[in-house]
Amino acid sequence: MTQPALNPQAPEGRKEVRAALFACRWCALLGAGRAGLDRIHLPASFRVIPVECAASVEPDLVLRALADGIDGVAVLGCHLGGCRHNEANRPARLRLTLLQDLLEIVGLDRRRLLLSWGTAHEGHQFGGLVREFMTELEAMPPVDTKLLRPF
Amino acid sequence: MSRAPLVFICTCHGTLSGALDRKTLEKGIAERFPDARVEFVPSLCRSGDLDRVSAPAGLEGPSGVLVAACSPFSRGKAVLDLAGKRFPGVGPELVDLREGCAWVHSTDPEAASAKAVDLVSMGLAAMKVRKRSPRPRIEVEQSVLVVGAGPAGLAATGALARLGARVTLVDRLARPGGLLNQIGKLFPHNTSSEELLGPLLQEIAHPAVDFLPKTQITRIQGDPGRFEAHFIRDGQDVSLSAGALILACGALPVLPENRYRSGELSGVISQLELETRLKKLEAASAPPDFGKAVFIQCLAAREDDHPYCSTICCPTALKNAIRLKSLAADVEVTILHRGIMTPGKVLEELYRKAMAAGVRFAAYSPEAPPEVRGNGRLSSVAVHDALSGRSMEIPADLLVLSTPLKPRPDTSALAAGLNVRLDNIGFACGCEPMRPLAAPVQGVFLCGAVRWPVYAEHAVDQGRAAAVKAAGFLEAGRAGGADLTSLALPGSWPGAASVDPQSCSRCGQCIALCPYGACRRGDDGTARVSGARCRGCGLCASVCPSGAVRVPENNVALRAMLREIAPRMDR
Repeated sequence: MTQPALNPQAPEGRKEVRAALFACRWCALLGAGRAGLDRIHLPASFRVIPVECAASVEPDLVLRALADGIDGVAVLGCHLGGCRHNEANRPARLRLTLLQDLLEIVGLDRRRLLLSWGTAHEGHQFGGLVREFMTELEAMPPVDTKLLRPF
Repeated sequence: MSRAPLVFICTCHGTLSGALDRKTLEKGIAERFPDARVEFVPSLCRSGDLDRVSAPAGLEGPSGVLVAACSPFSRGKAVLDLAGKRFPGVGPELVDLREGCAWVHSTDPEAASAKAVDLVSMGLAAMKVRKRSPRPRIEVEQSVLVVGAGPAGLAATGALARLGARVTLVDRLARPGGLLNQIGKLFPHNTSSEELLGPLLQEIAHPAVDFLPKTQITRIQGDPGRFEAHFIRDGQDVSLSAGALILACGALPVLPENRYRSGELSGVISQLELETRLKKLEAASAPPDFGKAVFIQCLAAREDDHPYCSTICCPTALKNAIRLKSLAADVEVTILHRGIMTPGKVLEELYRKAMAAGVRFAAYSPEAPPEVRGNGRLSSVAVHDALSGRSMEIPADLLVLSTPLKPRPDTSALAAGLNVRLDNIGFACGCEPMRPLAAPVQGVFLCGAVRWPVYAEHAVDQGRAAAVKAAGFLEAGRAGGADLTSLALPGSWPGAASVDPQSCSRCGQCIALCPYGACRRGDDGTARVSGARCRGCGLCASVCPSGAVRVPENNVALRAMLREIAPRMDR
């Protein structure tokens, strides 16, 4: 099975990046849909993965994604205090913030894991967040997957 | 005979063809999923289009159906419904190619087409490995337990009885009515508390209502449909079960304690004590035995220990000032306040009425609180009027202290077993802002001052509203064996967590963190998930160190989707 190039005709000088965005279906997924309705133009290098709650994203999954060569992962959840699952996003935030620290400890940029709590539920917010994230990732070298060898 | 997945790609009447190239999609999907059959249709949201697709020859029906159309917040859900009808039993899944791809990348058709291939592949990969959790069948006992017989609890009980439910109402006191029993007249219309209580008490004298007075609830546990309440009655431990719960256990008045020299000087009383005195005076139509009354508002409210406005104290003070004035017009009443809180036209009218009746007002600032003077007996109150800037001494022979309501300390014990969240003050929180009277766990409802200090009339309204919610829960349970999972959160059902006891290490992280109290320890120490409580958020699965707790819909599927976008070839 061959993988088609993600961004085959990318303009020269622009590094091809890929990012996985886990979007809470009560909040950030609405923002993603709204960005489409508003025809906000976005770089095509991100993929949205809908989840029931940001709390369902395992730290393992994030590490696995980075180890597989995905440049950045975003977890987009509801605002703190507004979680549809009785504050489930609070422990998620603690855990994923700790994961950002761990990324830094192993030598990866902590900005490769983007966390958003309630800042992506409008189309323009989602768009702004994605654009900024992609620009940041484009400026970074590819993930040194050796740093994540156990995965 | 093989079964292959079927992919429908909606071109939205051809409008997406500018951004998504049909050949790239066909080729890309065929490379990654050679067995998938791809059909392009002009509009999936029109019912006829799916019917026109003939059954694939040589196949005994698709192994799965993936509809690549628009966002679930546009027509996506309707498309899913239609596909579900056309292919019953398959459980179609949705991929958003319009809002999520074509419309945000319309200027870069090549990148958009490549992304669309990825998105469809992700959908197919997830569909291939996704398992479905069995829908829990929740048996719902057709009864409701109402905790607290104040105005909210009484109204809820009465409404439920009229709606045909069996209700058990418990209160720790002998007499129903709660705080209303200590109050003579109610603002804003000066109705007597008997006028409000009377009809409510008549409503609960219903054959379907079981009123248990002098009963102290100790704890409530169990699951939606069958909660178990344990309580102490006549010194004995008793328990009963109920399908739904309404918590209407109210709040406690804060006592003035020794502030403003109450307890030391005679003539210094609380607002609640004034209520009792006024009730007696009004019953005897006797003039008050004092000539100059001063009220102090916001005692122990809007400060460090109780950092909130208790809502009811200003209208209560106005109401009682007017009552004093109407008992004897020559009684001087001065209200010392930090801003009179009378929102709405009805309460504003009460304020105006008090002014018209000759009640005087002076604002004090919390930095310079009024000073109470007297020796053994109250003589005057000195205050610096924050508005005029003048200091004055008001002669007084009665000082009335307005204190707020505070949460009952026993609320937290009840809340813990039911995963009801308390705010930083200790009041119970519903699912604000969409379902304020419903607790996160299904079948648990809140009303009255357990949520927040509330006027008696509003407590009655909330009680009735909670009753309707609880009746809806029972009704959903009655409808043929209760598929209550869809009541929980509107939209598609996310599945429920399940535990593999073989690999569970008994660490208890899921038990500690589950926002619905669904994860519990089984007899052998391993975790168990209550299907009636679980709502599929997946928090338990993401903290499980041994991968024993999983949401079948979620965990493997997310991994498979990531694999589709990862560039590493040795995956």
